[in-house]
Amino acid sequence: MSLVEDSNFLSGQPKVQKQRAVLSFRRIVSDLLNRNWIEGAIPFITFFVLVTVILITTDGYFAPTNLKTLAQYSSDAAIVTIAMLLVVAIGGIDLSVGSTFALCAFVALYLFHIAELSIYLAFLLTILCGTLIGFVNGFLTGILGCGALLATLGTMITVRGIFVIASQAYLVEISSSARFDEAWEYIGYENFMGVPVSFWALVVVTIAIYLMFKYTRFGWHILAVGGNRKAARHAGIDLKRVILLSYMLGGTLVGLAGFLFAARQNSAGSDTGVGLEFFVLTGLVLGLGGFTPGRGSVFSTLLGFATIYILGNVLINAGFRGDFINGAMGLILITVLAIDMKYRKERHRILARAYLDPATMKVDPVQDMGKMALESGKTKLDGATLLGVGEVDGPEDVILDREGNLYCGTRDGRIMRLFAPDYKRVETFAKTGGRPLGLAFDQDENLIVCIAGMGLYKISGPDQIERLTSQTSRSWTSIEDDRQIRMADDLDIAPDGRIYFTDATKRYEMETWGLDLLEGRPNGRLLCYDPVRDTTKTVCDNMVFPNGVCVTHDGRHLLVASTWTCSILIFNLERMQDGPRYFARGLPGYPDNINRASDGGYWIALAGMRSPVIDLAMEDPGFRLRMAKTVPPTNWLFGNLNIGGVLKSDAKGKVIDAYWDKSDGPLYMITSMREHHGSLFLGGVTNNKIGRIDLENADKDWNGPDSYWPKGN
Amino acid sequence: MFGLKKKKPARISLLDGPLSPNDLLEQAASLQVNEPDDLCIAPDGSLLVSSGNSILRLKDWGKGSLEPVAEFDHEIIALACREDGLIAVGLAGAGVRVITQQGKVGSGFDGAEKSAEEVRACAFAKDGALLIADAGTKDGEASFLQGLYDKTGMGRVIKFSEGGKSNILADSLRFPYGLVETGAGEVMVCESWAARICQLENGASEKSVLQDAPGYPARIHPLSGGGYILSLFSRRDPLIEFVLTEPEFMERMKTEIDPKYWIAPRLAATADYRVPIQMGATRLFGEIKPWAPSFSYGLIIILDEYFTPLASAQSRANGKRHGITSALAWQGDLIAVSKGSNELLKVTAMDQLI
Repeated sequence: MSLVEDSNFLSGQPKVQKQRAVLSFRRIVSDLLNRNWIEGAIPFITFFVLVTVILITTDGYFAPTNLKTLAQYSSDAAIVTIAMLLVVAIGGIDLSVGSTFALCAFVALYLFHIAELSIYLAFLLTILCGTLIGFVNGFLTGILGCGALLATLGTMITVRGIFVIASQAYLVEISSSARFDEAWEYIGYENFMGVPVSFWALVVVTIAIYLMFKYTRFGWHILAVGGNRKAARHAGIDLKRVILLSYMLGGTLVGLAGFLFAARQNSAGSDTGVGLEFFVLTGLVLGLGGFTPGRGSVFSTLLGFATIYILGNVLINAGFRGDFINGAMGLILITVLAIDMKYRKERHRILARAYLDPATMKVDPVQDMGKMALESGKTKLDGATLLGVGEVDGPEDVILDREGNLYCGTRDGRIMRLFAPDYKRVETFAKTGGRPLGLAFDQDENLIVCIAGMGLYKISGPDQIERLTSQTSRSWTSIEDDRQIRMADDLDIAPDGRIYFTDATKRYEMETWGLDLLEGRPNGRLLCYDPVRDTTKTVCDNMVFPNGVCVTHDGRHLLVASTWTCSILIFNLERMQDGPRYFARGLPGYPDNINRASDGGYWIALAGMRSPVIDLAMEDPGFRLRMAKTVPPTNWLFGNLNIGGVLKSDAKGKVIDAYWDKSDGPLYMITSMREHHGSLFLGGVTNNKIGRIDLENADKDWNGPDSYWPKGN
Repeated sequence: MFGLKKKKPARISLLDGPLSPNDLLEQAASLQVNEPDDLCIAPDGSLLVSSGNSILRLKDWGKGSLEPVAEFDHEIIALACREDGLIAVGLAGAGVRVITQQGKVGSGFDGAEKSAEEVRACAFAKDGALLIADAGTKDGEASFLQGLYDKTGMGRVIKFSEGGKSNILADSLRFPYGLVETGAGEVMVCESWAARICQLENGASEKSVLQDAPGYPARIHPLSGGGYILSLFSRRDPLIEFVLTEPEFMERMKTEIDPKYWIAPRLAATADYRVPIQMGATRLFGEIKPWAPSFSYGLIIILDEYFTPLASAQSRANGKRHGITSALAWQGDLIAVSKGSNELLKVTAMDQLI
């Protein structure tokens, strides 16, 4: 009797209690730690705290006039910080920025006041001076391979020496110069749209460097070299060139900062730029949350710099001595580095500890199987013909085309084809690069496949593979970005061509999906791909390991196996928003794929069996959590995936037959089965063979493709 | 303090060094024996094996078959033989009997017979006295595993002198399963659930000579040149040790689940789907890996006179010869009984082992 004839059937089935999104403190912490922006949050929080403290303690600090002054005086040092970021990002350090800054300021003053060059020429030559010193640094470290710390220490002292000699010779002359130039004054003192010109220069530099890191090849190369020098070289990046160029660019920026300083101060003293490198480094380290090469976070760096600058400024205003402030800066530097070191060492450990987040799960008691139970000793799979022995590694799903050829996915990412009638000839049909799981044929005889770690793909012929989808819409309640389809598991195609498929778990991978059982949370979802509009949407979220999918014989309902709850759910395709009802529950094992049977019923693969102890453990999340923390993974209590079988249900979900193998038999774990012309083909995700048995009372003319897509229709 | 202190699972020695895994037990020659349990050597040099309710005798390996010597109305769970041929037999739930080599009842140990419930090990001291280890449990196999999770020691070691005088050498032992007298006359007892061998000193104090054993020690037999052969009925497992630190789960498991399906050590490898498995024991291509975690294991350890391991014979997770409850040296070979496979094993020549 089909579902159509008995329309009351579905409404008589109990509704599945709607699973809400998971709200758990442990999960929020672990998901937060997992995010990349969490590191960027540290300088932001520090800055926020500082501003709050100042707002409480100081009146009028953030008044527009004071802010303007701050902007005017801090811009040149901020640009030097960005120059430092460039060099640190590549894995180096530049101690000479202070001296270079001073020398460039002198050069600008000399060219303007003594050589009396045009201001534009003076600007270009100043910047060239900075670039030249950057070139020397880059040459020493990048080309010759000297250590950055010592090499730039050398240039720092040398450049400082040159600056002292030159400034002693010309400073008096410079200060007595009477040259006046509007542009020079404008750069030094004026505002543009209410903001100092030097601050505009900082804005331009910031945006330019941000865009460089984000979008340009050179910016990426810098980050690659800083992130992993060896890997960058293997990737074909010219290390020497990139290092040289980034030091030069850093020098250019320092030159610019020196010019801005000269225009503002109109003089330079012996203390110009002294200690600037340490000031800038402290800001950088605070901004990046540590000394981390390979990161180009311009805004975080500037935030760190602003924190340090304002802190220093406030302390000076409060009347603290400069030495004290220097000491405080040093202390901040050391503290940030220490915290960062400790945090980075422990982060993966904290993450691993917090990630597994078990919940209470009460599995329905096992339904009475009577004479069909495994312990009854009937082994209908005993004596099955074994196909492709040793040639198919992990056939999670198996499927047959109209000609009777057999297809299956393997652990190494291939789709294998075994040729009818004897299935002795085995060939690679397609290479996917992921872990192919569920399979289905569409109306045009394309093989649609769920690939764990990749998504939903279409194979239209040998090695003709095409992606249908790998993302769905993001759910709002999740901190973790869950757009990516993580473990596409099984699919089926409705008569209208829509593909319903499961993402078994959003939190684990093919290698770690077992942890999803220990967690026992609704981490999976049912998705729908619409081939006409090429869109993917989440049809039902928060399901407990949704696994096998099967469109019922009438084409109007959808069966979905919920593996850890040992139940099969049923959806009405026209009213998906109503959510699922139970089709079968209290199964003796963990259901995997579901497929149509020729008599109007369904085949249900059991990947493993429940044991009383694991059922008990599912009710005790604390036990599972402590187990995961104290016991090595190999010793974790687990569902018995060493014994499985096949159940046969009628059209209404009543189990009417069971097929088991002997306890040491070759078909121990069964994840899929397909009926084809009176035979049943069986696959197992950890097996290296496909089983075949002949069914006694089956329709010998029935096959899957004709059942889904009747000929002449 | 304040319930904050985290209880850590007990330590387990690694199977490493002289205990590195091997498959000597799997390669051993064997004889089928129904329900074997303990072994001893008669003064005439023949081997006595318990088999269910009866004692069987083997004159020579490969020559002749196992012939019955005596039969009892209870299952035999301990066996020992004195130099004059007197045989002590532990019976499940029925104390101990002492018979002559001809199978006749009667000896100077009449008082011993009803003094104990479940005698899991017997040994004769050099002065002729009878030592018995009483597990203290009443209903045999059913309470065997309870002892692991109850954590209370109910076992005793009692010494009977020929005159009928008895004295308790130790009590509150956690499943005493093996007994041996050292060359110096000290009594050593294998305390299974405590995974150790300890020395009994004048009834009171005791000190471990072997602790954190990799398995649960069963019978121990002396070697003629000094040293001992220790059989261990299963391997200890991190998951079991963890469950021992989880009182609530333990209690629910004990009350709600049949002991057959507990997380617990086992004597035989079983494929029953209701028996829990550990993640590392999942089959790949149909095979269980030898290094997979398992609740049953075959393990014999040769110890020197200071109870330091010298060598071992093993049957790993993918083997069948698990549940070794007794092992000794006979005719130059290592002989053992496997309760898991119901076999008497001739493992290898002793001089090849050490």
